[in-house]
Amino acid sequence: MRVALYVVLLSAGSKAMWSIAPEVDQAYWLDAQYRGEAERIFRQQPSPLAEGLLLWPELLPLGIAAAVAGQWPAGDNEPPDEAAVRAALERLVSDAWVADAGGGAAAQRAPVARAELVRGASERGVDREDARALAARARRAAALLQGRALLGSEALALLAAADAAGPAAGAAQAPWRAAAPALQLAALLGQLRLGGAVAPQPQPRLLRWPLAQRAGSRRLLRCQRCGSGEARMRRTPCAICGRMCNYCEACLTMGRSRECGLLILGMPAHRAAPLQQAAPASGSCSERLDRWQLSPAQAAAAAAALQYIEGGYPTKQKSFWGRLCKSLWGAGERRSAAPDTLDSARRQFLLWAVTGAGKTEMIFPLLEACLERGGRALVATPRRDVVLELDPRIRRAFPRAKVVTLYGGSSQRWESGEITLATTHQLFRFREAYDLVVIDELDAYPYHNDPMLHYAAYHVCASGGCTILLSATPPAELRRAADQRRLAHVRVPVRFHRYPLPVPVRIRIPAVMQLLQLSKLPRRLVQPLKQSIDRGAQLFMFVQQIRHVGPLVQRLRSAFPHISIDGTSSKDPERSEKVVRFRERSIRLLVTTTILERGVTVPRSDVFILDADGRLFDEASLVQMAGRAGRSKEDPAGRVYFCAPAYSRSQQSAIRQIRGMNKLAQRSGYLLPKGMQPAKLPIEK
Amino acid sequence: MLALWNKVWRSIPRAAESLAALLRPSAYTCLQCGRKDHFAAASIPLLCRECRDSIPWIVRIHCAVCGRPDSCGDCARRHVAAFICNRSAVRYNDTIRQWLALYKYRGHEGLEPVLGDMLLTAYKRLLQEMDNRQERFRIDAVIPVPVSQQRLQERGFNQSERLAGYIAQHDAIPLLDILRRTRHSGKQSFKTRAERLTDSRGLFAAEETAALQLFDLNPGRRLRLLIVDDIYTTGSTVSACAEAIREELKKHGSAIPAEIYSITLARS
Ligand SMILES: [Zn+2]
Ligand SMILES: [Zn+2]
Ligand SMILES: [Zn+2]
Ligand SMILES: [Zn+2]
Repeated sequence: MRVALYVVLLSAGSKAMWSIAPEVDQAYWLDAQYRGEAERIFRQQPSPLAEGLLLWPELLPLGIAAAVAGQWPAGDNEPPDEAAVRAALERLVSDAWVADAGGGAAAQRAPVARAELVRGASERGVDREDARALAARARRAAALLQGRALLGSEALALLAAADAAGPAAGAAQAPWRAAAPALQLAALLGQLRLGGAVAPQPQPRLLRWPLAQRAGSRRLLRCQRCGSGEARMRRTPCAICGRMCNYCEACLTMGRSRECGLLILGMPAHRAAPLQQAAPASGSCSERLDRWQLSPAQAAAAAAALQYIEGGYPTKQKSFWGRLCKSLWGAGERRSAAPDTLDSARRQFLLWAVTGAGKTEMIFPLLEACLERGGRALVATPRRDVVLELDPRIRRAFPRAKVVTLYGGSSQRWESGEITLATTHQLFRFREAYDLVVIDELDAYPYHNDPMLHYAAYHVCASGGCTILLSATPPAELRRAADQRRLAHVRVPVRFHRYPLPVPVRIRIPAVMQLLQLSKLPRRLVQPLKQSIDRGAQLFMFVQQIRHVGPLVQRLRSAFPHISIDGTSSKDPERSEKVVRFRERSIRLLVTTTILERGVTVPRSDVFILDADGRLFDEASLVQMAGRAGRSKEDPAGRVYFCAPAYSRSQQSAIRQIRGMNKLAQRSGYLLPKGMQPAKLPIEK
Repeated sequence: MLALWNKVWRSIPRAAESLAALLRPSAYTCLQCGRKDHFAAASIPLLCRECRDSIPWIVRIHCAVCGRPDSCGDCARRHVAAFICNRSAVRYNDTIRQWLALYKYRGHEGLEPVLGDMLLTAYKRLLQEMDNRQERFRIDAVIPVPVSQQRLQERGFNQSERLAGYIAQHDAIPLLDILRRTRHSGKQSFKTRAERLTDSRGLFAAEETAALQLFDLNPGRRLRLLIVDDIYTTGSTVSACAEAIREELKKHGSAIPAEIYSITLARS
């Protein structure tokens, strides 16, 4: 979009600003009555008016106007000299155009317009009623946008949705023209932040002036919504602002974040009482956990997390996540996307729970503690189906709380509640909004190696809030931090049914590629397959390549003609139906890729991982796949096989990790006593 | 005719290869399905093999007028054609609908080179086909179907103009953005066929000053113009554009006979 640029001449100093509704700025700065009304409605102290405004006579692309405002010299608190201000403004605008064009030839293209000086309020004066009504709308908009980070169009949709639910129901969605004055006024009063969705990282104030002197030095852009840097920017000719303009490719699925588009940041959500300072909730820790009927391991972990949230740890420790964010953004860029100043106020806690530990139950007491203090909680998980599955469980556990469920296409998109359940991508729409943030499966796609989602997860937590990271397979970096006690954490080494995790057994067979060339499947593979089939198990068979699924299904069908065998992958439109049929046992053996490595839990299942030495199966994914076996109480000792020609490092570490957890469970006394474990696997015909 | 199509068909793998050349093996993020297992900072367009294989190329044309791969009632019913023929690169199936939505509505402009390359395939085929019929077939100017001002402000670009740019660049042909929408019509996809046909009548007009560029062209015995759009559905849009261009030529008393062709990315 294009915005108005102006310089405010104050009694001491001057500053450049841009506006999406310049008539509001003019009244705000020059009309005492208008200012009075606005400040009264926002309950703010009166602040000084301006001596005059120097208006740039034409609208400028947001990127250009923001660059000028950002580079305006801090000044010396002297009464500004109009001629000097005028000269500085004209030079900065011209420099911004030059810098935009990459210097050189385009210099002549800079508009040679002259700024216009406005001294007094407009002659008609401002209608008190209008001023009051606008201020009221601004206040409401600011309240609705609290804790949000929205693109212009999204903010519009949110305000429209709120209007539709409120008194003005039935009104058509207000056009941008109608919403802009209220947003601009709220921004002037410091109750909103308006900025380019893609913009240069802010520079330290001291550096601004020298930088401004150097025309042509383009600062590095960053998507202000997802934190992606130059590498994810795409520069295209833009009909909206009439110049080459960058947009962010990384967060495109959430609506386009672009240089000439607005990102509207609401004020951080404020809560009644900080979590760690609030009076302790009624009852002792164990009493509070009782109602959730947790297993001993679950209860111990929940208690540790609770203690951490409520301030058992010093808050001074340098945030691990802050540093992680920093390291992910690399050393090339001067300023970290995760400012250090906030780190001490945002704390992270890793809840490392093995597959099948029952992690959802463990977060209930944490959510409860947050709600008891009037806080707001967020549970984020990578997949939409998990969100949909969690939704009824959370609503049942917290019948009196307002629960909002967010995913692509969710009907509650613009609502806010005490507990928010969301897919990870929805996090981009929030900024410093939650006191308790639970990030589920932070190592899974799409978080996996995606700095953008780490950025989102980091910024969604309010200052003073706490983030709980949930994972069965935390990435190496987190594990190292936990080992070195840089990251507070607790391990849940046992499943809810208190049996040990099945330890994978190695089978040396050729790679799938060769396997498909052989006339017969090797006995070493057929034997255990037959055993599993005979014991009545459901068989997961994981392969690396989608193209291996079909041929392998054919081979297996001819080897085991009496059972039903099928295959699926991310490209299979019937995937969910096949998973249902697998669950219902009408498919007995399912050949699949990592697409089913998580989330799908089928009772009485055995797991065969082919090409276990392959590049695509890392330690985490092996542990996750192995975690499909033995999930039910009725059949807790499922079987897991790593089938490969070689014994890779990933397989070694996966087995070591599983053994380690079992040992820890044993030591902690979490396992059921030996006598209670079934000596033999039940045989079913 | 069959021989011709065999020849054309043989040229397709080559087009697909040039696509493939852009699309180096997939250690990168696929532009289309966006799998990000391998985080890459690549900004060049990339498709994974599966996405490439899913392109529903039109290999056999059934209707010589509209380039439809199946038999076609529309063209038989039509009396006076404002344009000679249309050719499209691919069928408008679910895949292409998604790709175009990603490009147009989501604004995934990174896909543009892929779509541009696909469009070029149709263009090259048109040239080949026409070369067989008449000598020295050359397009004098490419004219994109315009979008409304409102749409342009929302989207930031006109997909037809961008795609037309690929043809213009490929053969160094002038791109003349001379048409304007006379009114903002609602979304085409919400309308019935009949509504579309009546709606698009008089929907376009040439912009007076811009249209003067038409007379700066230096055509041979006839002026050959190529209208470019993303989707061909009933042909009403192309017809309306062609009529608007003819109107403008007539207004200026142009003596050179004009032939108007059309290329679209997809044929529904
Ligand atoms: Zn722009
Ligand atoms: Zn972004
Ligand atoms: Zn792909
Ligand atoms: Zn036809």
